[in-house]
Amino acid sequence: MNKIKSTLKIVVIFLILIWIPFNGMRTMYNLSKIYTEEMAWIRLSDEEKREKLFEDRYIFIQMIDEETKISDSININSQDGMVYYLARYYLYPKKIYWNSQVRTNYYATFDKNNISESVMNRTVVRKVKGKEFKGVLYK
Amino acid sequence: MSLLLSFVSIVIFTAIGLSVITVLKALKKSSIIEKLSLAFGVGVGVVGIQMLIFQLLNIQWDVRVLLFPWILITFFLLVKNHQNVTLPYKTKNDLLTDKISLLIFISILLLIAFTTFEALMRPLSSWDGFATWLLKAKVFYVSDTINSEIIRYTESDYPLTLGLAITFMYKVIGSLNDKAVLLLYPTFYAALGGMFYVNCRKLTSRKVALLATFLLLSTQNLIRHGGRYEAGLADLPLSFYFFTLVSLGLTQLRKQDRASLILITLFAIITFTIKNEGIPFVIIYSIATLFFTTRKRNHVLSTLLIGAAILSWESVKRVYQFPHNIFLSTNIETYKLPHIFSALLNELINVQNWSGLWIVFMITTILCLISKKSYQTIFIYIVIYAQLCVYVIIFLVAGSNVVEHVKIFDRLLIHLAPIALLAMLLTLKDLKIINKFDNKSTEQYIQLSKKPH
Repeated sequence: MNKIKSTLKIVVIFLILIWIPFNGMRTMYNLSKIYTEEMAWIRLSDEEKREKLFEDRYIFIQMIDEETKISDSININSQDGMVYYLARYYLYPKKIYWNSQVRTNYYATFDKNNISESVMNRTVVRKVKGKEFKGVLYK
Repeated sequence: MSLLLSFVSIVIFTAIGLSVITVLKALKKSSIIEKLSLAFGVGVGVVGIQMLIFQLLNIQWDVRVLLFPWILITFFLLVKNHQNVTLPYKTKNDLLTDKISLLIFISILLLIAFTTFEALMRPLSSWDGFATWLLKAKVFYVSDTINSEIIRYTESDYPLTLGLAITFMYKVIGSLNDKAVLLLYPTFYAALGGMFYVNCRKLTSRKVALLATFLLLSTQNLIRHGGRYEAGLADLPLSFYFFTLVSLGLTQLRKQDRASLILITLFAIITFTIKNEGIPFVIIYSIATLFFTTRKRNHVLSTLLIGAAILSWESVKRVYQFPHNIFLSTNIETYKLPHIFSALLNELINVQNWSGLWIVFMITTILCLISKKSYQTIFIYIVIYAQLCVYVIIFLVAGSNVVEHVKIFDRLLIHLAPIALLAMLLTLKDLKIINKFDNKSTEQYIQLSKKPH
């Protein structure tokens, strides 16, 4: 038992001696990211940063925001869960619902009253940075 | 301006926490680092709980109304103690005199600065941040209320304290700025570092304590949750509360003190209102302290209070019709066990996230089992492994896809990482390994810290 104990003690000391310079180098590497990665972010506005982080999802959410009023309910038809959670966060107090059982990505129905009684008014198609986003606006 | 006001709200949390600690007459002989770190955690917790109580009592969430009781308490304390207002003292031997300690100290400061910079560099980007934690804060701020409709809409059964504390920050800022409030996270990171250093210092020399703190804070997963991309979750705050609770418990086991026990009870209550995982942790902690303490009566009272608080919280959840809690499920699916253990093992040896933390911890566990150990070491290992068992059970009963669900082990291990590192130090101390690197013994430090210079 004593032999196992002394071996394990040596292993622990050895691992800690590797661990210290490893984390020291990790810290240096992290700090170097300020120049290598973060310089590209520093100059951006918050909106640009959000577009960079969430890409076309954020542009789609902006489109929904512009096309709807605060009392509207929005049904997002998309396989992408992230777009639903982002829309729910960014567009609150607008109510967001999610239909994930579809094949399309980024298609929203904007319902001002009740979807079953509504009549389709117009289809909104927005082309941003080469990508097409679609939403159907109900009266 | 928003950032400045966010900083002001952090100062308010700390000031409120300090007034609570002073009222409780706890931590009288603690260092300034310990007092400030702990006060910040207490402040965040009591403000969150205060906002929930105000909501239940139909009192408006106005910053002035919210601050009024705390201003009153601070004024009362200033009048009462105007003649013996003293700053927390520091011992002469804690001054940074040698170059290695200074270098490690500067590295720690750089890590805190880096994490703060990263947190404030980007708007909220963590998935659960916008899906749960900051969504709640935003919803409460915009609606200026809590009701069952809002809770249902957020689709989350998690407690409200952290979300409400962020709502308070929005109130102080005066607008929704989800970048400025992320300052809360590097503050938790720094406070965790502060608490960790102080507790290591009670065991070992300054140099070793600084080195251990550096090893903890330079862990990549902690840096990520402190500010780099994952700020906005509740795991780092929970890690702070878990560690502080255990460290207060360890001190309490050594010297029984009623004032500290009240503070521990308050801390335990805050801990389980941060995240659901806090409830089993607080139960495990209470049982373990009851087992190890010599003054059972006081601890039984404290445990009863914590139990009453948990029941009250469960009643609040019923009032607001919280969604179903997976802890209440009884359907255990044992076929998930191989997936769970393989994911856990993969995460424990994930050097990218943890460096050597969990690998060394696993070896020190074996060393602890085959060596003579102190009751404090046994206490801390029991708490860690019991909580790990809870996580395994959660995966077994949760009705989700286990392959996807176990991916969150990296977050769950954050809760226990600082405690595991402290356990490692305790084992190394029991084995007299770290004593070889010490300039002086712990007993000397404890004696010195009792006498203010």
